[in-house]
Amino acid sequence: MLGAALNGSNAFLHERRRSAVEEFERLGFPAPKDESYKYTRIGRLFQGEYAVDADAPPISQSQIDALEVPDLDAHRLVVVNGHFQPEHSRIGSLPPGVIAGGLQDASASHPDVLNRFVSKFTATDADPFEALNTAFVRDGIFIFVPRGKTVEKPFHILNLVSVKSPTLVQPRVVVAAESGAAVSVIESSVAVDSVSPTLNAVSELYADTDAFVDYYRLQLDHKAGTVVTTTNVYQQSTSNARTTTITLGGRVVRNNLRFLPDGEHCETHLMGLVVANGSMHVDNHTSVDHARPNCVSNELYKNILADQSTGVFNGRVLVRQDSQKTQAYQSNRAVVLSDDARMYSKPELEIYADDVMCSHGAATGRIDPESIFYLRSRGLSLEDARKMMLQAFSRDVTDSIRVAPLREYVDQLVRQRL
Amino acid sequence: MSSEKEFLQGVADSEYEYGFVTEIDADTAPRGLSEDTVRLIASKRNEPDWMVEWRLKAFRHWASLAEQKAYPRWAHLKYPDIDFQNISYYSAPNRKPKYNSLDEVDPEVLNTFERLGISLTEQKRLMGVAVDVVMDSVSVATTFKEELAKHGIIFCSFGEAIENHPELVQKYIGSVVPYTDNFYASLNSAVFSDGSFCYIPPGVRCPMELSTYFRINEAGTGQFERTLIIADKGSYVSYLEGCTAPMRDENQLHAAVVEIVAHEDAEVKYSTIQNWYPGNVRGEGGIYNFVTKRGICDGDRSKISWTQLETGSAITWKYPSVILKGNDSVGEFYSVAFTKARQQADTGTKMIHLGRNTSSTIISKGISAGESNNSYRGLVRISSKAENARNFSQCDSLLLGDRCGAHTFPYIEVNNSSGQVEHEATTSKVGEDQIFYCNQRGIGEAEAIKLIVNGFCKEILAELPMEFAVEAQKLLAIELEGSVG
Repeated sequence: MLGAALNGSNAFLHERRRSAVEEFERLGFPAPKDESYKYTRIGRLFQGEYAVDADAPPISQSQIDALEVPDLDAHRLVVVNGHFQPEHSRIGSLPPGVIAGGLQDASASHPDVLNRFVSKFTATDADPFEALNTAFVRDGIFIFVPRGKTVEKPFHILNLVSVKSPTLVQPRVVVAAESGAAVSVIESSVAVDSVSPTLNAVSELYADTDAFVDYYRLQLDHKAGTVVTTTNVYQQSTSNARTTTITLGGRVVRNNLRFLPDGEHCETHLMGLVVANGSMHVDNHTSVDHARPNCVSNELYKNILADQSTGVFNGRVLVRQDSQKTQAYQSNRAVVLSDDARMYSKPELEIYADDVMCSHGAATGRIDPESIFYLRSRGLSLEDARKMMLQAFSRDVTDSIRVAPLREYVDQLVRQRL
Repeated sequence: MSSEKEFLQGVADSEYEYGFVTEIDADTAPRGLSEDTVRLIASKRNEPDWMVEWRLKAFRHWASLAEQKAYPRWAHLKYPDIDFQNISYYSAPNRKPKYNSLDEVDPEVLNTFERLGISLTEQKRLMGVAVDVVMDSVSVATTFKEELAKHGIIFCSFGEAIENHPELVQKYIGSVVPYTDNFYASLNSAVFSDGSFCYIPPGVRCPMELSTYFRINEAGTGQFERTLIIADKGSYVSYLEGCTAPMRDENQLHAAVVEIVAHEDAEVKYSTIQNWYPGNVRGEGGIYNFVTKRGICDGDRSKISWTQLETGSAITWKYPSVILKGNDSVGEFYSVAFTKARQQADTGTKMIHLGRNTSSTIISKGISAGESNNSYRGLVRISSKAENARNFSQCDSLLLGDRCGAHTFPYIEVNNSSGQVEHEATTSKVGEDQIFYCNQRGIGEAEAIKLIVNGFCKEILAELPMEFAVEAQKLLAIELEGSVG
């Protein structure tokens, strides 16, 4: 099975995958007592039988067009069941030197460039899902922006999953911005069939010196089953990396985000929004490893939980010895709308340097009754007042989306949901 | 800045001020733990069969955990595995008549307390504090018993309680911290030597602060105290526990259990100063302190408040908790944890909200110096039935030096829509601007740091009963002093 896909003649990748197989065998799926999966008993969801690859049923162009973000002018890259689909993609013109396309193609055509980035950043706390993806990855997307180049329009990776039987789909995205380069990437995952697939997606982002990487991960549709995503962000000095994770759909969603600002004066932003209803279970697990001095990180995660949904937030900030002048801020807020909904929050600070400014805050509660009263006294119905408050609550995150059409689109989806 | 550095260095290195050994002949059990040891402890203490049975059940549970090596290792602490068979589980001063007055108490013991600045006689005269002194494991002096008896208050050693009030002990022991609760609680349940028992009858406001000073005294003996406090309907009690221990090279294990039951409208205030031997600057020796403290607000409108000042021990593993079962009940946790040299503290609280309109407050201040690590670990759980539950938590850390660590691990679980939980945490060092401000006003750097640290902790120290607050402030100052006069 291993030989089937990505590595081909790429010896480096072959080696990486072989060691990932070993690592996964060692780690296994998270055990029930695994602290980092304390509130999301995810191991049992992987107990059933499923295939690891499937022939994609044909998807029509109109089906894909229907999934586009309205008015979004982007370089579109379509992935079906983890495989890049050039015929459905619409990449358009790119600045010279920019590579954008399938991972498998890049492995053949630009192995030297790809090998500089793929699977290079291994997190200190190894996660089985990342290893599993590396072990069995077949294809995905590779985006490379060379030194000093700016890609004006965002890339939009449409990650479609279309399966007829339970299948584990493992797409991989590698985004690399060389020094001074700037790139913005939107990755949205959509299931197009009624069989809910299991998704284990890994994205790796690299921001070299002075680079700017802006990344959005959207999980919008309701058909998705179990979704595990891993986003690894590696930063060199004075780079700026932003991630925005929007989760509006999925039965059980686990987003792992790991940041390593490995140079001085880095800027790191993590934004997240969860709007959950039904029996959705959404777990955001973030980790920022301040390994160098003089960096700033800022984190804001918001949860709106209705019905019997569950929200989980775990934010770890590690400031290593001698990472002086670190500023790390973290905030997690949750509104619990129903007595059957739950919120588990675990913000963590682990600090080994003294000249730092670090704080975290977590608040869980209902919509402020006084604000509702204020709005009602001005003639709004209870329903409208509630919606207005929740929309305002979510806008702290959505307003930070830098791609205007996407901002409008997410805002509208949130409104619909409320 | 150099003098600031020196000062902090001094703080980090300063040796334990209370290290001395009281020489009293002791009756010590051989090292090792088995059912026979448990029976030996029980028989030394003339305990009834039901108590022996309970101990043995606890021992068997503990033994099964020990066999699986199910030691709680999740805390942010580094220490070698403890050899539980290399510890003596019982030690009692062997001149053991029950004293009628202080004059009969071994003068060595009295002298120990004099040196600690906590003279029994002085306290008796000036403060009206009844002190149940636990010297190693057996109570050797109890004062003010008659005054308390007038109000129907029972305040005695655990042994006496088993003898004289078996119905109360049987009813409440293990009701808050069952012997299956955790590894160290099981160990304590099996081998607990003595401790304090306190019962406040309905409607009684305890006229004085109840106080116990614990000391670990015999080389190589662990100490396993057990405290049980029951506040019946509408009663109030303030309970103080203060600790200093002599200097030792060998690690000493301490695994205490404290259980508090607050019935309807009752209030219990529990204050602790812990200043056990923390080991030397190289991290050798020092007490391993694994404590299980928990209270239950069993009745409506009851209240339990924990206040602690933790400055000692090589390792502190301690989470005084409150189960808020009664409606409208209140739980509080105020803590200052100071670590220096190679000390490690992993401490915090659990607030379990079960009843309606329950509220809890957590204020935790951690100060780390030297190469120490200081962690706050806490849980706030709002169960689905706990309508309108409210929690506010604040955890601040202050770092004195660039080789220490300050960590926060809060767990927040909200299971309904009306619960409101807020958690805030900050970590910073003593601000250069703050020191500059003090310097401008002629306050030297050493004094300035003391001032700032004191201000940082003020909120918590103010929660301590007055006489304790004075001692606490003194202790903090001594801890900070080090090389700078």
